Amino acid sequence: MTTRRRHLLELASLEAGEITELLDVAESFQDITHRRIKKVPALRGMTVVLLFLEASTRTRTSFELAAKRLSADTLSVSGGTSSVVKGETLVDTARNLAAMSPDIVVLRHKHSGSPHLLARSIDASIVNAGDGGHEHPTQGLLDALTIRRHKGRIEGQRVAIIGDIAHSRVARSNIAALSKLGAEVTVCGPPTMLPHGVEALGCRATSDRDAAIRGADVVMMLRIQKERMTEELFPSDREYALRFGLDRAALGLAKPDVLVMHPGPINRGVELAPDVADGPESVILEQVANGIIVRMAVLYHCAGGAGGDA
Amino acid sequence: MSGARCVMDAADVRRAVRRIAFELVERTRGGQGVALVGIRTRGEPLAHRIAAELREVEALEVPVGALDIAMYRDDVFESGSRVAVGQTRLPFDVNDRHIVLVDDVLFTGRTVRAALDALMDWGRPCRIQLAVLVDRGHRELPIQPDYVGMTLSTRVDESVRVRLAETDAGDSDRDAVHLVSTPERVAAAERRRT
Amino acid sequence: MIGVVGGHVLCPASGVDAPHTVVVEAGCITALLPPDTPVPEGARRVDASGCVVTAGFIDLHAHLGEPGEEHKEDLESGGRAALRGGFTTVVVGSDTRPVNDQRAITEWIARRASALPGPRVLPVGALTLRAEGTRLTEMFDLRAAGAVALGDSARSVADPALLRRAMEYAVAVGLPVFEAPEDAALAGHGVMHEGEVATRLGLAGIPACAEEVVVHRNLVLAALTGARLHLGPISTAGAVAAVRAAKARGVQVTCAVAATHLVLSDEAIAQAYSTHLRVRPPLRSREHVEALIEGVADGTIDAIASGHRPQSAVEKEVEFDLAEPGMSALETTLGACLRLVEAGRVSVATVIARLTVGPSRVLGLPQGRIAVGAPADLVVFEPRARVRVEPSRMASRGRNTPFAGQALPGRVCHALVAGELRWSEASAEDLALKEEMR
Repeated sequence: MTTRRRHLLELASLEAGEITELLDVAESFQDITHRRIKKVPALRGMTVVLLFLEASTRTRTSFELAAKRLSADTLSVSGGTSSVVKGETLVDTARNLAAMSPDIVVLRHKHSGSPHLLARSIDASIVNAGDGGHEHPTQGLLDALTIRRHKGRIEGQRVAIIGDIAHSRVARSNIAALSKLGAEVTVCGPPTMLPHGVEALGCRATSDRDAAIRGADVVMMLRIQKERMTEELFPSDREYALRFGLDRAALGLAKPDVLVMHPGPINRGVELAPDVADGPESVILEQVANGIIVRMAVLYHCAGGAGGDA
Repeated sequence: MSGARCVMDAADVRRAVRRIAFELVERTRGGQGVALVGIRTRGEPLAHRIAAELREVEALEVPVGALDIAMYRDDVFESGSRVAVGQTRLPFDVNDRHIVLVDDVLFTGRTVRAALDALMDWGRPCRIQLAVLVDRGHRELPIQPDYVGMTLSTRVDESVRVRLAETDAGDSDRDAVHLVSTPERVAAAERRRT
Repeated sequence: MIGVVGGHVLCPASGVDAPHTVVVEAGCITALLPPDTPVPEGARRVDASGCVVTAGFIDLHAHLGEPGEEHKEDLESGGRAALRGGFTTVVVGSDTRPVNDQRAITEWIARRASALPGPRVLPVGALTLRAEGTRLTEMFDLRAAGAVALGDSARSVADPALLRRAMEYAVAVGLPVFEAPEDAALAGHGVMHEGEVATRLGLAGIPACAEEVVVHRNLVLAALTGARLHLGPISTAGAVAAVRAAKARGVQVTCAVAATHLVLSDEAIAQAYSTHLRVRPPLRSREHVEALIEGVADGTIDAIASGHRPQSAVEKEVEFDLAEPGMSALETTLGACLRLVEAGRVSVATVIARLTVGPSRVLGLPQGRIAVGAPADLVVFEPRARVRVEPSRMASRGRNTPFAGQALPGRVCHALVAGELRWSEASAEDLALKEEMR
């Protein structure tokens, strides 16, 4: 028996049309979240396993809610309590779970390429909820949705992404989605945090924060990931905040109707000044809300792949 | 279209819509509390047309909504072409409402079954009725229309093709309903979808 | 006595490039006769019709698992893999477990290998104890036990002062110093070449400068101490350029490249994150591959090696970050080289030279040429035949090859070591069949 599974491993290998379709499907779920019965029976009887081998409450609960709203059954396996801690390999863990015939496995893992390994190893649809420094596709999609909602379209928008680009899977997913949909993306960070050949991903790169922000429609700040850095990439939080953080003064360089975004959680006072985080331009909380409908769209998209055409 | 037989032309369609509108007003004692909900895709323009007739003939304003049933179909994950997902728009409170579902073709009844489920998840209407442009028989579920434009006797290896100006590019003089011979495989797929 | 009949003899060292019958006796080549000459009375006939006959290939950089990692490979399976790939001499690195840093281990390897009907196995003795880079080994002892070179194969010596002293000492011992150039600090936690592909895949990179920095350092120290330096395997354009310039200045340096690095770039890793492509040194981007090919063509690179490092499924069926680097390469090296020839990048003669006379000169070995009086290490192969790489039928215990399922050019038909026919394709097939039926 061979079933052709539909996965969502990365946005970099999707066409612009596929991304747009996912955003449209996500929009169609918006009304459901406002009515009394917040469910549709689309994934009824299906099993969604949430294999979160890297700490995350926010993304995991978002996926769990999305699956439940599609009437799927969910099963949650987290890093601290799983057999992986006892030294079981990822493939063995997945094969044991596969014995329960999950339809979809949502994986978050600290090693890039793990969803790809999983897709080769078990017969289930794999959704990447963040793999190492590679991609975080649903975050990229919900960011794109948020921008589209406010601006009407993504094409032609000037987006600045500021932070530790080298270690950010959120940055890579956003660069992929936004550049495919026609936005002008500029990434910014200290030279030690700009990866080799990043322009080849479809964006401009600079270490000049003011230049990046000037005239921007959207400013997306990334969290300084102390847990993922293992070497000295910048001398201090203070210097970072001064040269690369976003405060009111710097925000003034952007367009008046600029959107301020952040995937969360925020390091208040480091990459985002508190008054900007809570200010009128900020759509950070809306990003979180959009996460659920985007993940519903992704689960629906992947579930539909079993036995069907791509 | 080879082997296509025109069973309704633009004038027939117009008359059918008008007659449905009249029947509706008659049987609902004036149409108070009624809302029309078109099942996407072609049910939506038909619902708007019925509403326009009610406005013109009876000076009655009836709210119109559109219902997308992609998430409620019972064949969501079978092989075959994927159905595009559209927006559901119900600009009124569904609770305690007399809803008239509107669709172009009634066939197996599965589409209407999905629409009923979807509607129930939106609230609790006091009554639901069904209006269709064409009833082609071959029901697989116990579902019957309340208002029918035309009853058509068809074979399983035939398809009913509806053209409407709003959805199929053209002007309203090109509205039509055709009966077409189709290969069993295609007809079977259509039957599963509707 | 054996007569290898009907083949086209190609020896870049002696300049022979014509059909000959090669007669072998008592471990040496005794005659090169005109092609139609019948085989001498009582001699065993080895059929080489339609094939090329060259000196057996000499591999400067291989890892055969023993002692310490026998689940990955041992000298017997590795030896068979070598012969199947056309290699009659294999130089094994000192990074065994335990590290080959003392006479007892060197002797053990030499003795175990000589008891097997495989290729000649020549050990590299470590430069420092446990290859930790702090204390020198007993290099004279290692040489006496059979070491042909000195080097901490697992890593470069980090302390330049210690490397200088080690090189000075090695001059007296009379053995070349082997260094696999990579600066550990610059390499960091990298798992593949630092470049666009690594950025796209979100994997930590090993910059080219990690290799270049050590290459330059070592060249300066070699010039200073007069040691014979061998760098390998190398992977960067910068290394090739530095060696070229150093040779021009008269520094005694040689270098080698693994065949895979001539035909695959880091692009191959993109998309699938295949762990079979995680190797050390890493596969680099296109411009580095081009420089390596040029280096092979113009002789800056003296030798093509296999870089053989087999791994079992345990080490490879994991996330890329966690996979152990290495490729099972003995059986695909000739194929990779011939692919390069078929692409018109280098001639067959050049490739054969880099597999025979080049490595032979690095170590000053008598084998590596076809001439009367030379050791009878020969390989007979069909250059244009295509062989499908099937992991389940490989002789090596390590099935980690990115060429699985691909048809590579070149079929090795026979391999002679010290005048003995130690491998024939036909009998190998029989053996495999017997295994299957059991």
